[in-house]
Amino acid sequence: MENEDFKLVSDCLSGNGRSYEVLVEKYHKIIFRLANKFAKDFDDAEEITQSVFVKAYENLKDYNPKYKFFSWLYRITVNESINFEKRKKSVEKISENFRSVNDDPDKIYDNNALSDVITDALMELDMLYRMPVVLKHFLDYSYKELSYLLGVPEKTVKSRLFTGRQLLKDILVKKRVL
Amino acid sequence: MIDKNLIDLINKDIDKTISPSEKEKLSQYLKENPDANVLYNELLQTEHMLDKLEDIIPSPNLKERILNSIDYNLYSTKKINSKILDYLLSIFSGSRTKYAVSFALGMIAGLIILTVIFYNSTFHDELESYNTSGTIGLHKSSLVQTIDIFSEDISGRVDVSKVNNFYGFDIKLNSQDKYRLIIEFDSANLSFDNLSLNDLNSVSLEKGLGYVQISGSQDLNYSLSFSAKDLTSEKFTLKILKENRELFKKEFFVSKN
Repeated sequence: MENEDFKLVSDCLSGNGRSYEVLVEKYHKIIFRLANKFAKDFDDAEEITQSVFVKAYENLKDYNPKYKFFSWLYRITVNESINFEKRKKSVEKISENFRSVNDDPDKIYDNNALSDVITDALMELDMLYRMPVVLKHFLDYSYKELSYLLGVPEKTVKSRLFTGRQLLKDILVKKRVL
Repeated sequence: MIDKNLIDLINKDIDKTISPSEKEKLSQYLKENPDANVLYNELLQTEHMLDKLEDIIPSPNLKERILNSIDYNLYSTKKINSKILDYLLSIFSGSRTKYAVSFALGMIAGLIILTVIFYNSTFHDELESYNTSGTIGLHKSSLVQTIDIFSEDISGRVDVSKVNNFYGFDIKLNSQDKYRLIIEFDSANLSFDNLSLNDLNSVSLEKGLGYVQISGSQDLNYSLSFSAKDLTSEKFTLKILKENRELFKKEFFVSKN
């Protein structure tokens, strides 16, 4: 599979755009699912996914075949999700001043679906800790692989993973889910 | 404060990478520390909670949207050409350069038009010079002889021109009576080519060996052309006769230069 991906990448770099379509077909759903764990909103997750594949294509010549192609895509997804959240937060800060006084702060609890509550809890978690928790749980990557994806040493991965799990637990307790 | 070793063991247990001996060690520690045991259980539950997250499927057209936002020319050779073109366009994008380019293009267009005009003109001259049905191009010829004619019955002027081995006679005569104009020449080297009328009055033409005769009346304006085989000096004799009476006669030479 890795050789197959590398061949497709090489074909793309030789000017065969059709090869990239194969890669998009292969990985766009899994990248979307991952992005959806980082971004609560469905549309945001799709925007991140789109952005991941555009960035990946633009930087294809920098891809290091030492790593798996999808790991490289995950890494871009992590970075794009962080950047997306930063952008969104800055927009929200501005719009906070214009927020209606009728907004119900308890609106989150209106939805009884457990999945939504857990998603909300994940979103409350700072991205710094959300990343290792999500990546470890959903990709089941080793600490070494997470170290590559997050660009931090293994020791930091372990520490952030544990803190993230603790914080998520606290949020779920607070939401009376645990 | 949780012990660092406990953190590692809990992480390993949740991640299912814990060894049997480490699992035994963890269990022993949790038995002795009820608070740590509560934390451990809550963390396990939290992990299980994550399994309850719904697997959301992206929109069916997401792939299409992704593919539509890719610039496929990025790695094609055409893109390199396009980059060169973009660079050239960027050079010409400055306003000063724009004027300079417009001026240069105008000059080129002007030169092309002038070339076409010049070419047509030259081509026409060649036609006139080498085609026996035309007269020689006057602007390329040189006037070699002017003959003024004054007699009691006729007056006028004959201009003789030459270009290369072609000779032209421009004749303007004023007369109330009928007359004949005869030009004699050396037929061994010269031949009569053409008569062309420069006004609406008609004349009659008679050609013979070594001569050409024009008969007409009233005011006339016409041209005659001759061509020589070799470029030598030529002798012409111009005569004007009324009936059989000679009104005017002149012999002249046109040198080969």
